[in-house]
Amino acid sequence: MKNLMFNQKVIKIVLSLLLFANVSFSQVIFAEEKQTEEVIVKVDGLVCDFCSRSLEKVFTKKEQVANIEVDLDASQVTLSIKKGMTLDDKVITQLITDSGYSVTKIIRDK
Amino acid sequence: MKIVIFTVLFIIVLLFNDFVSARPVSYPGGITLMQMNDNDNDKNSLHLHYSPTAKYSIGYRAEYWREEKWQLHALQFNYLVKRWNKPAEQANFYFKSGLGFINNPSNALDNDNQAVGFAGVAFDWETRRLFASYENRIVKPDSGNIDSFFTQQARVGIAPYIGKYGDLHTWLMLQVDHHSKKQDKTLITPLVRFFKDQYLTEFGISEKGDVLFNLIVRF
Repeated sequence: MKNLMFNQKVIKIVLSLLLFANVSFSQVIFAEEKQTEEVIVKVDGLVCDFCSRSLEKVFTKKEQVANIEVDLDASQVTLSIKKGMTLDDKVITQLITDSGYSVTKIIRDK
Repeated sequence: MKIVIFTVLFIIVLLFNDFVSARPVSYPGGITLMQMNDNDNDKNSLHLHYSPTAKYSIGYRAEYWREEKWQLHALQFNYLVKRWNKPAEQANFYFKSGLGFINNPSNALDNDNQAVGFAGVAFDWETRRLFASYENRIVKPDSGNIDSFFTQQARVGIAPYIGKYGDLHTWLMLQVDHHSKKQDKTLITPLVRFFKDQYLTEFGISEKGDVLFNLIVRF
């Protein structure tokens, strides 16, 4: 009986720890997600991976950009802008145009 | 590390080397190294260019013509005349030109070196699945025993699968070359193109059984 009660106690402690870890982890992830703003840029001419590398090169040089993802299927580029920093539409359009592509639309997180 | 990779690739390029023309202009600040090996083993060439903007590039071009045993060294200027960007396709029209000299030991004149100029246009169109290109060049030596000549190249290609960004991409292509001064003026070469990240390579075997190998690296 004593053993059973002890085991139940252990199980409760382990479960509590797991729950706490999950909540903390979620809070960290949630906190990290809040650190960037996503900007989706619709681009014409984005058909070739080899040539699209230029966009990575150009945007990773900007300190405001935490990450860039190029999606050839959707013809779009997704920029993760660091929280507290700005990269306005005019600058984004100019950088993409200077790289040889055409911007059709910019969509920002609200 | 970049310098080491660049040097190794440069050496590979010098060793194996004929004619690829993918992207004569790169992204702003981009450096492109193109080694090309003429598929009838007649010409090896190397083109290294820098693109201050996405509209033009300037670089060095070297060619070695094995049959004629002469070398060409030139400053080459490539200009993107017009680009058409559509939702699922892109087309480009380029003008290319160069000025330099040909080193020709068999020259009847005392001077082995003779000035040379060349110029041509290039056009390409592609979607995620289809590709077509055409380019030409007229080469005009100043004097000596090398006549002017005109070359053309056309390609069509298809992607057997459509990869995502970052994947290894593959294209199956057919290339047709034409040289105004060659006995066999036209040459057909089926080839396969692979590219991933900033590396592109092509392998092919011409109808005469000669190997084509091209390599492009973009820095």
